[in-house]
Amino acid sequence: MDERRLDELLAAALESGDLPADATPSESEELRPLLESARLARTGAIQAKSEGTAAMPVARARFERYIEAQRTPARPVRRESPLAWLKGRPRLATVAGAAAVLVLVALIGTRVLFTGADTAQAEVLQPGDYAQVEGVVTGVEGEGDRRSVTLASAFGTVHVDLSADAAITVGGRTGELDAVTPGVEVAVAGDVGDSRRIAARAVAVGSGDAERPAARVVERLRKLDRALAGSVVSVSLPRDGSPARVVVQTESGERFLVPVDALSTERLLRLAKALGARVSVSAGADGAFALQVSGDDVPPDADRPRVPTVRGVITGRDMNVLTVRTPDGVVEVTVRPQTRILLAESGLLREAFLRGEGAAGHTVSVTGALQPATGRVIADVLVVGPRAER
Amino acid sequence: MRDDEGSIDEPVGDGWASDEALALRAVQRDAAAWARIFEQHYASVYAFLRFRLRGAAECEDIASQAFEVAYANAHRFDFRGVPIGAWLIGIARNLARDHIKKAARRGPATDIEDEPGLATPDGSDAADLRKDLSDAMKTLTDDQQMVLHLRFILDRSVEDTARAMGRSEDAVKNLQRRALAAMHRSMTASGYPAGSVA
Repeated sequence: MDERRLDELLAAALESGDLPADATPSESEELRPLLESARLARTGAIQAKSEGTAAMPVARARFERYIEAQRTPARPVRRESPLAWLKGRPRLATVAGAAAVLVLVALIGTRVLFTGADTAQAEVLQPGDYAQVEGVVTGVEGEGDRRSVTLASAFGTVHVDLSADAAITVGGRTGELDAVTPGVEVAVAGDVGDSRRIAARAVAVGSGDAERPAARVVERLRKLDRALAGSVVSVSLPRDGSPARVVVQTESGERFLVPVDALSTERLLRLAKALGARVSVSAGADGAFALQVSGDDVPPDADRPRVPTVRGVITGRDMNVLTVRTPDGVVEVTVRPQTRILLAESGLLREAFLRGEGAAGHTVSVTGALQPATGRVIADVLVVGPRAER
Repeated sequence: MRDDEGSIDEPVGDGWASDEALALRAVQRDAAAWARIFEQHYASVYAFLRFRLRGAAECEDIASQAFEVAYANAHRFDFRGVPIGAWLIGIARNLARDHIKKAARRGPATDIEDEPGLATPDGSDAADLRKDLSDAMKTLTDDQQMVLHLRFILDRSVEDTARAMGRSEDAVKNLQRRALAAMHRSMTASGYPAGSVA
């Protein structure tokens, strides 16, 4: 059979939808299954495009934000050198000015030494926050059900209180408090107390040969005028509804404390692993910034410990217990009064959700502590997303 | 992308002439032009990815990334070389390839947190067909896949497909026939005898 002729006959048939009149019976026999395959491909394409059309509102909003961010070039504010004003001055004035600046620097330095002021370090963890941080354990004190753990994190030392209530996971499986030993890498989620200590709700334990992160000064990001990207080192979610604060570490090692808008917070906490996620920062509203998660959902260093997250679809609710269907089965999630419930992308109203209305069918991402005895997850943060596709 | 950000005066449709006007404005990062490009091509880019990636969430994310990468690289776009839709598909293909490589490096999902998407085949005819088509696509060569995507997902003509792929029309017709034949063999193995699927 002439292949070139078959190619032409098929092209003509696909164009008209019918077998060409001049096709021989054997050629028609050859073409029929090919036309059927083309029909299936077109049917599948129509279905997939229909899904794509349904996904457009959320995607459009994301693209709009992206374009807006690009049109407002972002860059961390570079403070002018304190000595810049001396440029172009007469030598005597310069020397005198330099001496004055040195005295001033010495005074400020003394104040910094004795007050611990004044970087954004102290703002990373605030009393009342729900926080996720990662670091390397440098010390453990106490025994039994109560331990006091010291972490070296990218923004300094973090103190964590561990109790029997904390859910410990080692390599994704339930572990014991004893797994938290000096030298291991951990991801901690919990509530920040008055003394900025974290009362751990969940601790994921990683490898024991992790390199201790070098603590560096954290600058609070107030204004942007160039692209800023990096990985997430910590997430702090205030109780009063004010913007979440995220520490972003750039590739060059700079650390910025970034107040983040509600939608970006939800998208970050919906990830399988918020800590370590690669993000780019763009201009936002009301003093907060937007984050775009770039690349893959799970960062390349996926073997690092991660705060357990359950993702699925809400299928039912009984009082304060949600039933969530996940790819691995059904999980029950207990919603506590302290649970942070984030609904911005769901289209649901908070009051309605709390009354149990309209939640079924929505996607959800739950960060919390697994109760081994009941198999339930006690939710610390509940991010309710759009309705799942059927 | 808001209404007050301007409008595209030129007639815009499927033709190359109107696409060219749109492309010229896209290169200058005209927001209204990009809004139009998004409306015209998002569903197609998503559909392209739907046959390559496992979950709907992944497809949404990578499709969005494709537009962001395209916008960021708008100054490099040369309309004479390739139409906008095919350019976007090319970007989406590269992103999907990277995504798949990373997923392979991570190994199979072993826990629920690893599951990248919420969409799993629900047993419906549509989901079954999508999965079987997706499996069939994987048996094709890159060029064969590209021909099917351009012809049946983007609804491009043979001439446009040839232009987008830098091949002759004869080569596209030949690739098209071989791709459909290979797909038929795969679909038959999945229980789709010719003519029996409603």
